[in-house]
Amino acid sequence: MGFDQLLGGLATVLTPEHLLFALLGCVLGMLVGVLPGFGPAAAVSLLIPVTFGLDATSAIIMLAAILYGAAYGGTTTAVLLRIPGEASSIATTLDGYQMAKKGRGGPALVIAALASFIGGLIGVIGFVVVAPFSRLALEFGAPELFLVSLLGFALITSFAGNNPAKALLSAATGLAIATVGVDSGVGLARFTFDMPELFDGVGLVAVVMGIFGLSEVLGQAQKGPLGVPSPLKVARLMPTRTDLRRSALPSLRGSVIGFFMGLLPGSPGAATSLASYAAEKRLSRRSHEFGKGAVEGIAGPESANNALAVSSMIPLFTLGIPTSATVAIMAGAFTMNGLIPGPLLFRDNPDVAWAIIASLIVGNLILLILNVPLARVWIAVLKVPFHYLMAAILAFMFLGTYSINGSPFDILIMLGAGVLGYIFQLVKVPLTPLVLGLILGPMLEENFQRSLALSRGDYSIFLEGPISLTLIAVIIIAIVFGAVRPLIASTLKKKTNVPVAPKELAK
Amino acid sequence: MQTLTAPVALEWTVAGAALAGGLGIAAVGAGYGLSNISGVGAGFFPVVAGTLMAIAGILWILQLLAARRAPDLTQVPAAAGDTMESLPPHHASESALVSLLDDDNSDEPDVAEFPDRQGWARVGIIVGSILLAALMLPLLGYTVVMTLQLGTILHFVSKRKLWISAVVAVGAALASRLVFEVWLGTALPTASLDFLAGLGL
Repeated sequence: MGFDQLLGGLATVLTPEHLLFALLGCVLGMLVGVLPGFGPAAAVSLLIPVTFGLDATSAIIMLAAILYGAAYGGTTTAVLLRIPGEASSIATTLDGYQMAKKGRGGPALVIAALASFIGGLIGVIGFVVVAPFSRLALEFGAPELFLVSLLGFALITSFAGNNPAKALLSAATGLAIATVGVDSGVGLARFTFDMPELFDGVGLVAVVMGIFGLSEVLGQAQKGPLGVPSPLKVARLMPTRTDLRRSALPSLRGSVIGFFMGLLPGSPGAATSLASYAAEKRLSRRSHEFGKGAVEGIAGPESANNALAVSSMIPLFTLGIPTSATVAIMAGAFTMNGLIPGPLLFRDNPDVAWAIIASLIVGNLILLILNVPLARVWIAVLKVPFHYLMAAILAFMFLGTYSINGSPFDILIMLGAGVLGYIFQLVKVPLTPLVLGLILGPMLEENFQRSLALSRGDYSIFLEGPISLTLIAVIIIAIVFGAVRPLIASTLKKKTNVPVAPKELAK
Repeated sequence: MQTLTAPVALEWTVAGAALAGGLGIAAVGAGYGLSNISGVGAGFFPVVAGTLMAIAGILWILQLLAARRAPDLTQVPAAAGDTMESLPPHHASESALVSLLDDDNSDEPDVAEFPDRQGWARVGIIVGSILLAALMLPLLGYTVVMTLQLGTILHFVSKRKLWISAVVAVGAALASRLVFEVWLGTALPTASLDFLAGLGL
């Protein structure tokens, strides 16, 4: 087990410098996370430039804190304003807002923070247990790595959106963008149009900022000024002993659900927290209280959401495969800071790897302390007219993108990606496969080329050995399942579905 | 029979662009060479990506064609292009499994409502101002460009008074310059025009 290394990581994180960056990341993440539509993916992509100039460990610790902060920020507005800052906070609006309406906003926020902390902690414990298995991945050769990348790609595309054609288009667009630049195999410039800025490929950060940040700003600007309802009062802060007792088991169950769902590529936080909500409602003796302010309805989804946020990092740390848009952005941040996500991270930079894992606990602890006292501050942020917020975000994006390479060209890339993301949103093309295609594309190509170079062009190298065959079988299952999933879902949905949170809620 | 509303027209446009763009990428990619002595050539992956794009475009066009033939579009939302979907997204269910499988419970950003003429204008002004700002950055320098960009957005998109827009834009440009240059150590570009450069802009 890696608990000794985890303690070492904690020692690294618990230095004033790293604690300061974790604190700063939490606050900035919460600040962006409270803005409707700006979830963890948008928050991390917007704030990546803040970490420029930091050493690798500090930068990743800060980005991880931003990620958590954004998730917590979404919870605050879900409880007090009935505005889920991100999709995975949808389940929390159901009972959190009802509790706040009864004057119990404070206990709702504390229960949410405690459950999130438990979810994060259990996620980290699971992480420590699973991390040593990353050594197995060191045995993978190029064919297995190609198939693992392909599996991640297939799973994410299969689970994205409700239209396989559109998910495929998004993924293929990401793959196509990834091919821009000098080919790693024979050194041929592809789609560069003799522009030196494109020789190293299209910058990931610029694309991500455009796809998740600018497109969201354009979507908000199109609607005009944002109306924010009057927030409910936090009132008394601490939950009762009964609240704590009632939320204990749901927190543990939610953590387990979230942890295992996070291991599966493409499992979305919104679906996982709603699944946890459904499980709690079914198991509870007070199921009639759900939707009217049941603490179990907050504790389960919040712990699931946070455990998922941690465990979704495991495939990245062990196999180097990002499994969601947020983790893909984190993968990009690793690469930007000279770290190779995957099993090599534990071999070559174990101190950094364990410091990042330990920072997940520290970040959660900081947020547990900050969440409730700062709730009023975040609500005040939402009262700032959106005109000014939008202008500030645009200025920040402009500057941040410029500072990647000190080149206006990256701003044009960000702009192009933003317009593409905005149009894709209008026609309901999911964005996650695009980013995954962009990240996994080079890995797919490199390992494919290496495999065929090893076998001298013999494609049967991908069919050798039980690992490859198993991976191929799972890839086929993923593709078939992706094709039939909409049918299964619509059949099951007809029976017991209740719309809980129209997206108009967040407008 | 489906009428050609603006959202449907946009779907047709994007699907057509996917097909044409995919074929174009595949054709250009093939020119880079599909194979070489050690295995695959530089054009192999572009061809794969382009082909997948084109296939996606064809599948989408087929869905749109099927929707055109449907008698009442609102009764066949799945095949009719998703912009016509009437069910609100995000559903709670009695079953955890259904919640997980439900397409609407994804983490994708909220789908924006289709913009009206004013909405398109607001989006156009923002996109245009960023484009111009990026192109003029080497010539006018950061401070001037950012002031103009923010002023334009605040005045024309947010409908703030001209003087308020100007004050906020100048203040934000100077403040952001201070933060990035002093705190983050990022050198921001200055104007290449002598007049502006002489003013330290």
